[in-house]
Amino acid sequence: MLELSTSELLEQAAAGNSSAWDEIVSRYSGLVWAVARGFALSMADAADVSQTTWLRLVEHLGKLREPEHLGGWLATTARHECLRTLRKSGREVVAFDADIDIESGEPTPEAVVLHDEQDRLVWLSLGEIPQRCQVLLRALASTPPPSYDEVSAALGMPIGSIGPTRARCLDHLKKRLQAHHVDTGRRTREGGA
Amino acid sequence: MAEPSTDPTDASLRSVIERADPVPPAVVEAARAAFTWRTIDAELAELTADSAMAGAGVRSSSAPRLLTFEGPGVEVEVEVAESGPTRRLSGQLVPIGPAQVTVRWAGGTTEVAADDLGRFAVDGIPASKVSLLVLRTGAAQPIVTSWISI
Repeated sequence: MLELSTSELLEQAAAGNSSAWDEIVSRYSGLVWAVARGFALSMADAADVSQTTWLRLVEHLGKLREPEHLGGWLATTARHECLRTLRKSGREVVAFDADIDIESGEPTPEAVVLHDEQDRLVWLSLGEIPQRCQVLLRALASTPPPSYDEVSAALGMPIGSIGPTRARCLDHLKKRLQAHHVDTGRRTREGGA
Repeated sequence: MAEPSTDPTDASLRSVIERADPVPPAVVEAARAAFTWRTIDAELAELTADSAMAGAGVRSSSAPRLLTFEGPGVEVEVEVAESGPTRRLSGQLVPIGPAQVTVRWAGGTTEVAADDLGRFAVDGIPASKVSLLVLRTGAAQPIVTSWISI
């Protein structure tokens, strides 16, 4: 089924073919999850956003205006659901467009699965860069790799801005990572003294 | 010893994220299962108003929540009252008229009739995502509301 386009898969799913639906899910569940987690939603809230996004697609099966842009549609829907979830819980995305680092917090539980120190620091740093950067880098790193069109939908940002923004975000990540390395180095030296 | 790299590549970033925060299998399973709620030839009534979204953060938890769904030529108004882990739904169809209403959620469905004035009420709906399927008497197509967490 890998050779089918998203339009063809949507058409088949709308006609009741559940294998076509499963294929759509395997192509895009990673992107939807990346968007939800990029907005710093908890596992439970992210699972909720994901389910709502897929239910929205079920509602709109056979009604999408641009079926070839399914990935973008799903990313946009997921983003709207994230903002809705944040608003409903009284939280706001703190300056989504601002280029400010997130207050450094404790390493998240996920970090325990990363045994390699460098990997652990990359993960830690990823949680500290501006929110928009987290969504962007996570969306770009989702599997299978999304198109810029889809990433642009995930952020509600013009395609032309993705490249430059990505470069700035990697810069943020690099700076956080360097700061952690300095800290780690200092601790190591102190520990060894 | 070489300094560790501070220049994460796309590949290393992908590898870290894949290990630290993979899509949980249950999330993929729920996405697959969503397909079972496909409806054939139903008109969609989308959520146009939700009292829980108005003035978020200052909402009183005791006041019932009001939802409005609008579809082509039809409106479904639903009041959601909390009662522990379950919800009571009181609805009004506009324009008025009798209908068969099916409340759908992940774990099951409940059917209830709307009276001649388009009113219906149903109790004991679990707090979860729900969608209403409304078949108005004499109508050719059912109406489904968009899914909403109650």
